[in-house]
Amino acid sequence: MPYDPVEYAKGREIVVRASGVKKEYTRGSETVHALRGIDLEVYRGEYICVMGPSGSGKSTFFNMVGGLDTPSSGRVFMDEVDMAQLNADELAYLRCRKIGYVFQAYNLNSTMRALDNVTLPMTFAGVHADECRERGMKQLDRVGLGDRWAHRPKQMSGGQQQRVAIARSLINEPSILLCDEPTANLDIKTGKEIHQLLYQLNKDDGVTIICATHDYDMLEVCDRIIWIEDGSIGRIELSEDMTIEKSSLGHNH
Amino acid sequence: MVVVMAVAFFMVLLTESVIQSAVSQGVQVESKAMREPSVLLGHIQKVPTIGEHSKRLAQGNEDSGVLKEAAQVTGITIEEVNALSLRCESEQIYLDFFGDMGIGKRRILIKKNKGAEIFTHLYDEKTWKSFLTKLEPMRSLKLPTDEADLRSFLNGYEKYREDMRNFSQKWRLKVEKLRLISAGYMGKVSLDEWLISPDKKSVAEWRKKVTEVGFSLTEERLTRVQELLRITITRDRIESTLRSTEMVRKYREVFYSSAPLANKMIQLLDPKMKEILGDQYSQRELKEVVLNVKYERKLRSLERWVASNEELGSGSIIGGRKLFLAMIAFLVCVVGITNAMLMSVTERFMEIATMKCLGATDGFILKQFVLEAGFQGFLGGMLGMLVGLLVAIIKNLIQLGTPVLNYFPLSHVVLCSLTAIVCGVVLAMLAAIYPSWSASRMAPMEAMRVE
Repeated sequence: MPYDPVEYAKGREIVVRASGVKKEYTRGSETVHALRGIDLEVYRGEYICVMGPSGSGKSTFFNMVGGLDTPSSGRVFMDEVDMAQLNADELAYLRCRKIGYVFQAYNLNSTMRALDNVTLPMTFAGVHADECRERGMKQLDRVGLGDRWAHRPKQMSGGQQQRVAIARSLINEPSILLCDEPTANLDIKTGKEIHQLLYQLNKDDGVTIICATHDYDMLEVCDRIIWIEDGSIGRIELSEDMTIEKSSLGHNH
Repeated sequence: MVVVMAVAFFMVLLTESVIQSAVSQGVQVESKAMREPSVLLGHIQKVPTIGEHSKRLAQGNEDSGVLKEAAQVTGITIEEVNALSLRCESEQIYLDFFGDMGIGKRRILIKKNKGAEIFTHLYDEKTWKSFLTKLEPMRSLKLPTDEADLRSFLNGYEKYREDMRNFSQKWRLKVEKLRLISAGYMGKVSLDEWLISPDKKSVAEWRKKVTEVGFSLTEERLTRVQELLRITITRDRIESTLRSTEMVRKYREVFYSSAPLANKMIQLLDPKMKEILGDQYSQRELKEVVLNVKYERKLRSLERWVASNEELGSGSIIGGRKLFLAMIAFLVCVVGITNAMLMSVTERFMEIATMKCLGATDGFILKQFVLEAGFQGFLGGMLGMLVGLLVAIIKNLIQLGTPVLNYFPLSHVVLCSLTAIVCGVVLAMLAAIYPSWSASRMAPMEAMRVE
């Protein structure tokens, strides 16, 4: 069954809506078109993979959705709020409460314990220390690191660090989780564990996930795959349609 | 850390000044105490001139008891003595003014150049006018008060002289009376020697009589004077013994030296010296004298140091030159901290960007960095304070010796330390404002970048 946007959208609630998003910037004398007009709707409880070669505008699009960058034209709505209209502090508020980030390089604070890293966004949200601790421990349990709360990033493996980072991104119960190649720095085995964790979070707890990746294993667990080529959406596919193609890709990989 | 160095430097300057001024004050007090017997006894025995009276009254204030004593001795009411004291003060001020200006200028201004004569000379209307016209172009000279004050002082000068003569006369009578009383008590012995004689009862009686006449001579004061006198007299005796030709020959033979007498005095406890002196003096007496000589030498050298150090007299805690140095240190400190913080911001861009991604506002980042700098400033300030304190103490110990510890101005030093630490914190925070601001403006996108 091929992908039908109208059919797919039925009965789903929109979390992020991008309409005609374009981004241009000048490098020296030439103008680079990073994005040439992207229209996309992300629904609640969905797990989306964004695939594309380097320089395709994948990261730029990601930054737009995450409220880190503003489009040259077009609009991005997060829970029906136009992000271009917000000032710096409002964007910070949005990033704090509506968006969770998972970075390729984990980006944990190396001087803090795992628990403190997890509760950092709560500090920004102005939550009381006791509650921070309680909820932080719960989140760490959720990613299976409840017993390692006092460890510092250097005392943990890459996979564990990424789990801590995921716990941190979920602490303020965001509407959407943005993962920027979360498994790129990990070996295949731990990468699979992270996939499994994200899959569980998505299926069991209904977390909306957008994930940029080069990792074809990721395609197994997601709902939709968005291919970005040269600043625009090449095609959108459903994960179940991909099975045959993926296995052949897997051999190439 | 730059803060440490700047604060340490500042602390050295501050502490040093504080210690030095404390020492100089202590030295002044001590040398005053050393001179006390001669001052006190001279005061009772001798008839001061009018000029001396004037100086003493000018320095007297309500607490010192000088004015009270003057009133008691002369029988003038305390109010009148107070008024007289004020006049004396102005006289001293004008005398200093005319005395300091140099002979050349004084010649031009008033032709004559002798102390109190100036005032009677100036009283004349014509001289006064010419004095004023000549004074005007001399811009470097400025009257200590305005013209009207000097004029009114001159107008009252005759009366004041008269009062002073009167005062002096009355004082002289009392001193004469006291002399008669004293003579009755001590016979042919000098006052100094009689005071330390074992006849304590008659000394006490004498003291009472002195007080009755009006001079203030309390019991403690007398005891202290007696104590000092005893040592001085023993010392004089030993000194004259050592000076006798026989002794000089003897110690030349033993020590092969012709060092100054004071050095010999310090060696009094040496067994060889005992050989020379025999059993004339007890060990205790010798010890006392040695200590006294040593003490006096140290005091003399300190006094010389105080006299040579102009900054101490100026009264300000930190002099102009030192202030300039401290300012430069602070400037270097601010630039250094700013630079270090900028480096740290560029080093930590990943952390900053991540925090911004996680929802930290610009204000939060700014606050974080400024506070961080504040803490660093505090730690640096503490360290610098300790280093500076140590350096200042050691430097002063080398320069001035143990009196530094005797007069250690603890409260002042604590105050200085607090000032230094606060300076460190404030400077660090000031210097951190720009780097923190640039950190807070960093784009959160940077966090997505992979090194």
